[in-house]
Amino acid sequence: MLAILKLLQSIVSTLHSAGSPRQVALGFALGASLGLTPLPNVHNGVVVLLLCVLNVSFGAGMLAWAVFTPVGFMLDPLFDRVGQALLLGTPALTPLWTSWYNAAGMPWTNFNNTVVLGSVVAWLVLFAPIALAARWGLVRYRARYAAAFEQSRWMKAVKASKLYNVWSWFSP
Amino acid sequence: MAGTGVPQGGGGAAPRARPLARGPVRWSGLVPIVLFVALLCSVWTLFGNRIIESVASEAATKALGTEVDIRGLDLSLLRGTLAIAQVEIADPFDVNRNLLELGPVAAGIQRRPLLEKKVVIDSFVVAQSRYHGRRATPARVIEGRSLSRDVLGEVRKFTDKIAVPPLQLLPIDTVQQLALHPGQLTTVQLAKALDARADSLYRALTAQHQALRVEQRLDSARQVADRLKGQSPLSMGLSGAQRAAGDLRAVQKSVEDLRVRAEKFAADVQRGEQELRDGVAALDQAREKDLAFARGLLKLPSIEGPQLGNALFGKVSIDRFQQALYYAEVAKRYVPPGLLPREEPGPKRLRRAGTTVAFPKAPHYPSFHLRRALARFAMSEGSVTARYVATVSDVSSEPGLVGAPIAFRIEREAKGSDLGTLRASGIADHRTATPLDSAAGRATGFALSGVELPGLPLSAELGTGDATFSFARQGDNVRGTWALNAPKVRWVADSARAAGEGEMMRYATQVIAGIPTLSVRAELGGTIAAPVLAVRSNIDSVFAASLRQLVGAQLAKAESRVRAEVDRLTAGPLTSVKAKVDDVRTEADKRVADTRARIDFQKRELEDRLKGLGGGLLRIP
Repeated sequence: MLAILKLLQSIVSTLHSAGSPRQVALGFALGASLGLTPLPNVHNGVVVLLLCVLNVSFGAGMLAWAVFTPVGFMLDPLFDRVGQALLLGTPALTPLWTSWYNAAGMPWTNFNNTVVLGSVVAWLVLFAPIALAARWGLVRYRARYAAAFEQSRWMKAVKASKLYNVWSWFSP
Repeated sequence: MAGTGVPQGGGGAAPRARPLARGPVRWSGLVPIVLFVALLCSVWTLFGNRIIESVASEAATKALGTEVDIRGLDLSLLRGTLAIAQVEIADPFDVNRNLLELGPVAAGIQRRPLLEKKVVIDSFVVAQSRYHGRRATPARVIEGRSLSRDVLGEVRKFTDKIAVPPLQLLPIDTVQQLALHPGQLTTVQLAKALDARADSLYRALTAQHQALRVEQRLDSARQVADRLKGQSPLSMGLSGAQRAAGDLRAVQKSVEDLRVRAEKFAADVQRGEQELRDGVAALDQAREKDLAFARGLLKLPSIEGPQLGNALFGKVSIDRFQQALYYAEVAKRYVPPGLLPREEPGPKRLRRAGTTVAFPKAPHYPSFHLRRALARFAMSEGSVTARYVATVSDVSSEPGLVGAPIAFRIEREAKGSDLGTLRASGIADHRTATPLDSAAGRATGFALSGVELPGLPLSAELGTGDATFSFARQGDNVRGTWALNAPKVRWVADSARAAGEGEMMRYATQVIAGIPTLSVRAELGGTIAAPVLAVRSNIDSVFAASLRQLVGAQLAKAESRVRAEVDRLTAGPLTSVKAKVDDVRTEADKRVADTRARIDFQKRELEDRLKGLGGGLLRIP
């Protein structure tokens, strides 16, 4: 229940007041990594760090996490194939993987796992399209629907929750 | 990055976004990160060792396919040390005992390889250990596919291929009537198959011979030769002679082509004949098998030495070899040869596991390397305690990187005691494409474990004796020996079971119980796909002689009855198929010889005509 509430709050705060469209878009594109790629990996630690430290929308990142998690599960077979192709099907890249595998720190990134590598590559490729699509969508939403939604009873109830205050720590 | 915070895209009714902090970095965001890191450090300090203990137990259990319990783990990354109070590894063959109990354990770990997610252990010292101790609670059965289960499956497939004849000691006068059906005999089935094969081969060779069109081709060559008979450049003119020479060369080429195809036909005939010869040889072998099968139906007693040895000590020998093969197979799975990228299933998680690929390369660290391990342990043998020292070196996931094979050695320290000696050593050399796993051991003056004699109500308490063991697997080839020599055997009879047995069984029991010593030698050879086991013991000859004395005449009579019955059922098909094979071979050989002779004759005739055209003087272009 708390998780759902948190999600709703993040959606509301992101869509209405937490930052400019560019900040929200970048936060959303960064947060997509948390959903698209397997979570307990070093690169996602870096993504969370960036979401906290960079002046981007943390809420958008959390929203993207929620939105892209089912997408990530659905696309896992595709990520697996992309990873297979890169790790095993491209001999020209083998020296790169070999040097990474034997470099200090790099193996902890789990880049040598097909799903991790495939999903990270897919996320990097989709980063700009996700950011652009998020920016476009947010601008249109704020222009057309945001005012009416802000005044709705449902929105007022969500904002009244104490968790909303905790969430606001991370608003840009 | 920083904007004004004013919503874009128009719409004056839209709420205003909050103003942004200036600059690209939000330093206040570091607070939760620092708090989170501090929390992680606290959790690691308080529960790190327990987490590793639990993860390591689970990982080892999964890896070995048998329960592994690790207790009292203390890892210090700063000092590079690992201490474990106790490790219990359950026996994959018996849930009620441990294969090994180790503890306390102290290990020195290199820190630099950890950065590469690799583990290099410089030293691993086990102060105490115990082999085959009883477990307080039965080990849990590891469900699902596991390496241990897979390996056990492979090992059982191997042992199932070793034929161990049962010891049959039913009284001969109670033997059932031999009721054989031709369909049960391999010889009859093989003869039918060979008969059909001979027919099809004959048809195929006939069709192939017809496709050569020997008659037509040689006829056309003969016609050209006849037309030019007695002709010369003078009678034909120079241009006529040139045309005639061209015709001759064309038919010569045609005949040469025919010769090449005829030779191919001859080669096919030879292959077919060889196939038939092999088939006939297989028939003779099948007949021997059928005889054994028919004897099995009668349950005649085994009185030949090799059969008795395998029947009495085959199972116990297989038990010894199967354990060695199990560990060789585990080594093969964990230490694949070569340094090519290696694929393994990824970690278990909600998301798809994927495949994790290792990219080993010299001179980097292997994923795992235990440079040297030393274990001292003691085992009670009656009132005396025997002390053992075991060393293992260069246990590695990639021996190609280490440049040395995995080696182990175990010795019993028996100085100053009445205990005998025990030495065992072995290597697993997986540096090359064909891995070699070998182990050998020798124990003298050792308390030997008892042996049960399958099929007999007897078991042997071997007391103190000598035992040797060796096993090697190179690629698919296996070889091994196992021998024991017990100078003072005590035979223990299961009197209740013996009372219910027949006269022959009671006699056999008496004979064996009178033998004071036991020496057994088992030899394993062949390949993983077709292993061969031969077991000899001092009991064989004594036992066989006694049995022969008791039932030899009756047995010979029963044997001859079996042979006559098998002969009766197989003689007809055998004679028929052998005759047909001979016919096919004779006919095929005749065709080959005839074709060759005719082609050679025609070639010579065409050459004569060509020479005639030149009149011995002109060189025909």
